[in-house]
Amino acid sequence: MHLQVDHVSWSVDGKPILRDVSLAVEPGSITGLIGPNGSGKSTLLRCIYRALKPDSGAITLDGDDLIRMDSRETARRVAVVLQEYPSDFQFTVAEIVSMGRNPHKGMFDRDTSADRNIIRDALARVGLAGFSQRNFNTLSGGEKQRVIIARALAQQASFLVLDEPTNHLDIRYQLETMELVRELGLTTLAALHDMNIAADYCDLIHVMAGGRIVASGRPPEVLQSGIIEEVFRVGALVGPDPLTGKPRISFYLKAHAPPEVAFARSS
Amino acid sequence: MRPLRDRVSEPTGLPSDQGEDLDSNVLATPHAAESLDETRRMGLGVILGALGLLVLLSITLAITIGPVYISPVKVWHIIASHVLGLSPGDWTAGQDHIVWLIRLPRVLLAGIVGAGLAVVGATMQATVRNPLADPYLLGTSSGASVGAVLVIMLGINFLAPYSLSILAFAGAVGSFAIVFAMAQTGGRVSPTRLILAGVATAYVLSAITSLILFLGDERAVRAVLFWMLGTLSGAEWSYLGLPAAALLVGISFLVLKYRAMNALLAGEETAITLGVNTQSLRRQLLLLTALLTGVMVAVSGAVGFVGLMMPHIVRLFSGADHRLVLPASALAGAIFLIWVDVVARTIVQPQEIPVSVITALVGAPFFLWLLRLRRQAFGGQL
Repeated sequence: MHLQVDHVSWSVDGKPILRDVSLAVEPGSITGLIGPNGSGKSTLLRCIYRALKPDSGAITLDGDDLIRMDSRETARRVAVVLQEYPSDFQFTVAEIVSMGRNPHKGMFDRDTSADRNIIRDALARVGLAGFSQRNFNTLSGGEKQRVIIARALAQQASFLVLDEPTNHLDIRYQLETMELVRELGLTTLAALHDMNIAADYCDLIHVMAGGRIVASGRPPEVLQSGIIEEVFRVGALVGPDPLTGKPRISFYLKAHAPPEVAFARSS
Repeated sequence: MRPLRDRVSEPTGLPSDQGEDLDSNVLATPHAAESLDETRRMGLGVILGALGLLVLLSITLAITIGPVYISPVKVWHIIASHVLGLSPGDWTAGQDHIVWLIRLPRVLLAGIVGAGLAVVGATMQATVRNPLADPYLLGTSSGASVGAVLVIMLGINFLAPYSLSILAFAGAVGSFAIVFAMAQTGGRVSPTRLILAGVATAYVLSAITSLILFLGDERAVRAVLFWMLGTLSGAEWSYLGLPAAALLVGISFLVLKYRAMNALLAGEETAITLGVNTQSLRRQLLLLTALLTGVMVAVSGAVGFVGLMMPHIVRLFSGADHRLVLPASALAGAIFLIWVDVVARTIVQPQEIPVSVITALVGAPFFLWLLRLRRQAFGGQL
């Protein structure tokens, strides 16, 4: 599954939020979007999952025009994990996951044993076998996130969009969630707020600021102190992770830079 | 160095809390999960079947009750003789008249209105994703009241004998049109704007009703008040056809849309990502609920509580899946309003009490009791 975003712009009340954004997501890769709040990451994702219609530009999925695609067809090809949970109404885990079958089901179709197998397999794949009759609202944050990922799996889409999937999760759940995403092996586009997580799991990273993509490349090419300082307006120290060798970043406010920073930066 | 890294990534795919581990291992075999699924699907049929039987039982008993007691067997004899065109048996013409022309149409109307309002309530709560939504959210009851007040107070009667029903329906649908137009921005309807526009419009229409009442004849005020609190008195066979047809069409359409409605309840953007055209679905649901409410209000006045609370009572037992919630709410709403009407017409004979007084006096304490009983529901703690 190859996603191509070409010269996409979107504005609200005359205020441009996306300015001429272009990027590509290669089949089988995990591509990360990083950038400060308001940089346009979520807006770009919303254009891709059809909650917004771009003012101009084109988005194609394996060459097919995504913007004019039938909404059910889109949902069969693109699965999305959002931080949006039903709170006032009580769904079981199985009911939440079975929603992923919606784009495959016509109005008169009943749930078949094939659907139930898909739902069960999806739950097993995220490590929640046996949770199907649990009340979704009583699950922990990490479990809820995995239920939502299971729903995405039940959609049987080959392109996965994640909007800040590790938000509000304990560190262990963050790592488990990203490890799970990697194991799924789907073509993935993820907006991530944690740059160290992005460094660990992304094949390619695009940096957004002010509605534009300002840097793109492999994690070591993009996660450099100069870029981070300019985009996020904080000081950043980047060095290799002692375990993995991948970029590891420490942050500080420039006005409050600890004395060690001057030493580390000069060395 | 590597082993530590491996250990970090290893636990993925396993339930994370120790407590959950135990729990999930018990049920982890595919077999157990399968049988749970089976139980649940059987549960659907059993619950709806049981509720259906309760509806039949309620209809029967409600017809026996009144100033003149008529035994359940005789009730069904009389009904059968009319339906199958048999010659009269050992009952009087008076009993025949009471069962066939007075009590049966009234009990059926109560059932239809109760079912309709409960289904509309469940649908409205999903449409605006708000547990406080009810059938009158879009100002339909205050719109209908304006129509009714015009008929009763000002004697607008050109469509007799259906003037009241027709103007009430027109008022209900008219207020929906206003609310919908006000809530719309750039071709989209947001739930919050819909709720606010509905509440504001209801205030305006209620003020108009109050003004006409205040300036009008005092004796007519009682009639208006009675209508506004809901009444099934005066039910005739000719009142039943349209509400029954509307109810059947409405429920069938909604049940076919249960997947999309579930997705809508999960969240606006989530529903979009699941392939639901949320704007068009919301429009369809709103139009359908406005018409259904209008039809129900036209024959019964503004019956409160049923539409707001029956779906919640049903969800306490069934969960939020609309495949069960919609038909179960309809059946539960029918049972509830049949019995409420029995109380309304018998408790201070020969006077009648408005239906909304009973729905609230009986239904609300029952719901509060359920709320205490089910402590984990509605965001409570286990």
